[in-house]
Amino acid sequence: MDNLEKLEEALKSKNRTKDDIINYLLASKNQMKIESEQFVKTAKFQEIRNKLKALNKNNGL
Amino acid sequence: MVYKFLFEGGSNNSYYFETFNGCIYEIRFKPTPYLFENESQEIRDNVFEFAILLEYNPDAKLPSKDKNIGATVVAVFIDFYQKIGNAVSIYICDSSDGKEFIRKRKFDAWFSEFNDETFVKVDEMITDKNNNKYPISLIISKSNPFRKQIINAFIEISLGNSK
Repeated sequence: MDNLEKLEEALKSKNRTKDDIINYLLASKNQMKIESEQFVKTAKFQEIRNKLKALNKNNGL
Repeated sequence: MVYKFLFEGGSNNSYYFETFNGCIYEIRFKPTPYLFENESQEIRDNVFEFAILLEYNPDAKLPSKDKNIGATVVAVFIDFYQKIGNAVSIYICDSSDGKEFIRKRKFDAWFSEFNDETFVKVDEMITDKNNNKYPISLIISKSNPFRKQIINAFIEISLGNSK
């Protein structure tokens, strides 16, 4: 179980605290940033980039 | 002006758009059913963490002020809430670099300028045991039939009385 999963489990607890909520939300945000940095290196990102180029070409950008 | 955007969906309901200067942003609505644990299934199943991520920046420096980004973010919200009318979004600003209040001001300004009365945004401050304060926002459609219940539950979270 990774850290975010542990924090998610804490959210389900009847005795959860504000710190449990804050820690979960901040860890989740941090994980999204890490995933985002990794995603840029993937073929899927290039595919999206190409789709955006095509979309904006039609948009006259 | 609103940038054209792509909805790619996936587990995070991801949207993407590219700015004039070549920056690529991702907007996520990540399902988070456990925040409103005491509420009905109908509410819990529609709770999302909102995030905006700068995926690609062709320049080393930070992107300049671009009002189209805010207009696009609100347009994405409108699109997402057309797909999931009773969506409930929670936004906590990234605080890893100590700039959470700058981000909050920017987010507030976007909503103030571009929200066409579609949404209700409720702002709260959530404080941890060390007295650190984190700005947190709730965004729901004005037409959400559970809005009073959701707003109450959100305030309870900020007070630490959510259980």
